[in-house]
Amino acid sequence: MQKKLIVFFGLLVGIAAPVFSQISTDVGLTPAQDRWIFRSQYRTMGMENDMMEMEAQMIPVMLGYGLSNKVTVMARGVYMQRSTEPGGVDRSGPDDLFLLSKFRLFRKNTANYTLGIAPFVASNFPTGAQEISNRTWNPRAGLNISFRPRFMAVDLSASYVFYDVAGKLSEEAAGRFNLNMALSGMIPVGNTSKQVVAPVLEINYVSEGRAGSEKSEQWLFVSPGVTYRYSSLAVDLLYQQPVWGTELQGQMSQQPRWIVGLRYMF
Amino acid sequence: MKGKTMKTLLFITTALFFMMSTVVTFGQTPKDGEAPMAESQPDTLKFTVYGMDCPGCEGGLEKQVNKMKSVKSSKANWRKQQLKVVPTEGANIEIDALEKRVRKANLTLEKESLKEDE
Repeated sequence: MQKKLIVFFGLLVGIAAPVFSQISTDVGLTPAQDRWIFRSQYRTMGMENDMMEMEAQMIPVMLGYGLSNKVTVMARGVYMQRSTEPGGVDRSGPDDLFLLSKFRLFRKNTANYTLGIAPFVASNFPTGAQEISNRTWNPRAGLNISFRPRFMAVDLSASYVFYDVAGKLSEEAAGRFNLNMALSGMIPVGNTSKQVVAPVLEINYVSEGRAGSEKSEQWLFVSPGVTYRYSSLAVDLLYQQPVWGTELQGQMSQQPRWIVGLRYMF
Repeated sequence: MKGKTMKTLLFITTALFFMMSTVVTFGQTPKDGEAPMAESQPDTLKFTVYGMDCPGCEGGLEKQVNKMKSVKSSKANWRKQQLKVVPTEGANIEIDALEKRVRKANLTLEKESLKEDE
């Protein structure tokens, strides 16, 4: 059960897409100084193996702020509900508080493209409900790269989660590596610059180490989606389809996921 | 005597003509606290700004530029890579100060791009 909780928590951290992103992939462009970004989503996910089936719905709420043009901070809280079968175990409540800081390492703006590189560090704070949180620290570090040739966007994000650095879990926890890529194109709507429709295609690779094993559980998702923007408001819809996964003994297979999101900048 | 009077009249006429020409050439005398007309900028200035990649970037740039005392309002357009600035009455927009503000928005001002709005 402990292991399943770790896997489950790992997935939650994995979906902790920070605010300034494509739909679930973080980007390498830090926002303007004094810029506030609010973001909320509704997410569904499911996993199953021969023994059990798990479903969850989550509502993350995120607030980001540009401390300067080089440093951005973000806080996120999540309300989660999950059910496990067999047994019909339903649990709900707030998950851990999650804080992230992103730094502008490089940015180049030209008439034809924008290129940005931004590393980040983040961690959960074990403040969540007993039934939801694993009550330990799982810091995370990563690098985001964004290339924006005018109306197109290519965003790459790599991150690593260090589970249970406080050593509170009875079973040794292994880390988790995420590699994400998002491609999108801006299609202006009407004559003004305010409205845009952006089809998005995301590819997400996840590799999660197994405690006491050299093998790791791996998954690949391909996710088509669309974003509608009106000025500082954006509405997102993303469908995450698992297309590949290792089949290790006891490994849970992934079910398709949905993300519906709202973003507002002020 | 007649010649001396004529010379005096000619001197006064020339002096008056010169004074009138000066007034016409340099405009009215500025009021207290107002910049001379000859040094003020036009109603709207247009600049090229690089780095905006979505409508959301426009607001971030406008928020920074509107903090300048010399700016009455601003309007950004990410598609045209353009920033329009309306200076406060009689004020001048300092390009270096504007560039600093644009940089705070993580964008790049094309310094040579200043144009008057038509």
